[in-house]
Amino acid sequence: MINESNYHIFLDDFVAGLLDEALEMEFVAFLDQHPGILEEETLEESNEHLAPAFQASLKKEIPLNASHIDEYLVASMEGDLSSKQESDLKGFLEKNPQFFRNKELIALTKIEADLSISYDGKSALKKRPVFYLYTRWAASAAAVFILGMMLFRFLGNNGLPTEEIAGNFFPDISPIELPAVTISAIPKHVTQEDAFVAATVNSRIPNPKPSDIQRKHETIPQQVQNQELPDYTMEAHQLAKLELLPVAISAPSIPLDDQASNNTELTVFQWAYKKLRGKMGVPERVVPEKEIPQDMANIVLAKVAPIFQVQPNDGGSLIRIGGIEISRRSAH
Amino acid sequence: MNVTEYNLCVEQLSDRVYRFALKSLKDKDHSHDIVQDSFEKLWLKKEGIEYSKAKSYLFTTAYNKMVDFWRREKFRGEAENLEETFSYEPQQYSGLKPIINKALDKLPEVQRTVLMLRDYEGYDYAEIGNICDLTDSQVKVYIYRARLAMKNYLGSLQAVLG
Repeated sequence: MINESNYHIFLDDFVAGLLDEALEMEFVAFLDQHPGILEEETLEESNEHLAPAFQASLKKEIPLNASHIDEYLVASMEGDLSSKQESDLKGFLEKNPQFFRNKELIALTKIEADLSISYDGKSALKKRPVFYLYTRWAASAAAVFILGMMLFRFLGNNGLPTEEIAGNFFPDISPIELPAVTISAIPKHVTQEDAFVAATVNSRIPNPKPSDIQRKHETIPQQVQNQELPDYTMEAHQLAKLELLPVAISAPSIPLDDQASNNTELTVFQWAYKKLRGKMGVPERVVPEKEIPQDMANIVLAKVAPIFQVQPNDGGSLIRIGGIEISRRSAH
Repeated sequence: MNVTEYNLCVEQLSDRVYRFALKSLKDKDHSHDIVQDSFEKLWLKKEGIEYSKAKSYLFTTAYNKMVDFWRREKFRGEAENLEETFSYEPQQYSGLKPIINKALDKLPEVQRTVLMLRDYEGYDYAEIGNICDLTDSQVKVYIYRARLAMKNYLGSLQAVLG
């Protein structure tokens, strides 16, 4: 560490250009922070012996002569010269035309990017905008309940112990064999006090077992219970689009969400597979869904459900499905 | 930064970050990973990053990951073999371009990096210093050194070729 008490040790070697690159850089940084030292040490006298490349950093003016012409030319290309210096340089070159070759060579060091190289994964990097659905707070809380119910139905919960419920999360079947939930199965009223609001799995567990899934229940406020609910058909459809739930669309009149149907962005499925690759020790990379191997797809599907989370939020709720967030806010 | 601005960054900057990484690492897979990781980090921090600062943030993140890569490769003692394992095959250029590329490849990593940020992206010394964690003077010295080294290499070739 070069400081004010020991810089003398390095000064002579620096002037002679004998420091290694790391020390030279450290010394330059030190001089930067202590500009008075240059004057104190009267470096002017020994400047001619400085390593040429450092002239530019130590002095505002590079001497214009044959031995420093390259630094001067670089300074010119970098726009570091004053108009007078530029004029001096022009005059010097006219008097010494042999240095035009140096100028040409230095001009060649201006590199250009190869614009033919492009990144082909843009669409996978882009994100879906957050959806804000303005509903009453109570309806938002009820929506949490509905989504929880949908998951329960999906899991076939009949009051089974937690581990048994979780066991249904990991059926070794292909995605197309999973039971479908019809949209008409969404209940119209809040009828239970206890709502399943989240299922999470510790991401640090490399191969989570069903018992690793943590569930969280919340009590639905009394004023929400038995309240008639808005139609959540679209939300259910959205979840189906995200492949979170295999929903059988029984109502053909349901309009497709243009944004969802046209999007070329990261799906939950892709996101989950990317994370799975990371857990398996291969580079995390987004790949098209059709390129995900079938056996991997089964594992991915089993892991998507546990990352579905619903959290109460200020004046609403926040639903996280992988990297996608759906924020619900009550209207005021 | 909002989602729209983030997506705009992807559209405008992913190619640039990729070129920057690919030119430095000469490894398509790792360069791909660096772009993905950089944008993922940007996405996670988007609330605290203004759109106008996103480019600098991306290049800083990418550079730090490149440094990690270099350290890892050196630690494994594979640096000497990289030339053989590189998966990046530059396009066939005509004229001086391959020679200039070779001169660039011969530079130390840090000199090559600051030169690319300077010429490809048009950053000034201070901006490059922020990205690479160097002082303005250090950046300037590296750029001068890089240009002089390239000039000498090109000059020596010209002398040989007549």
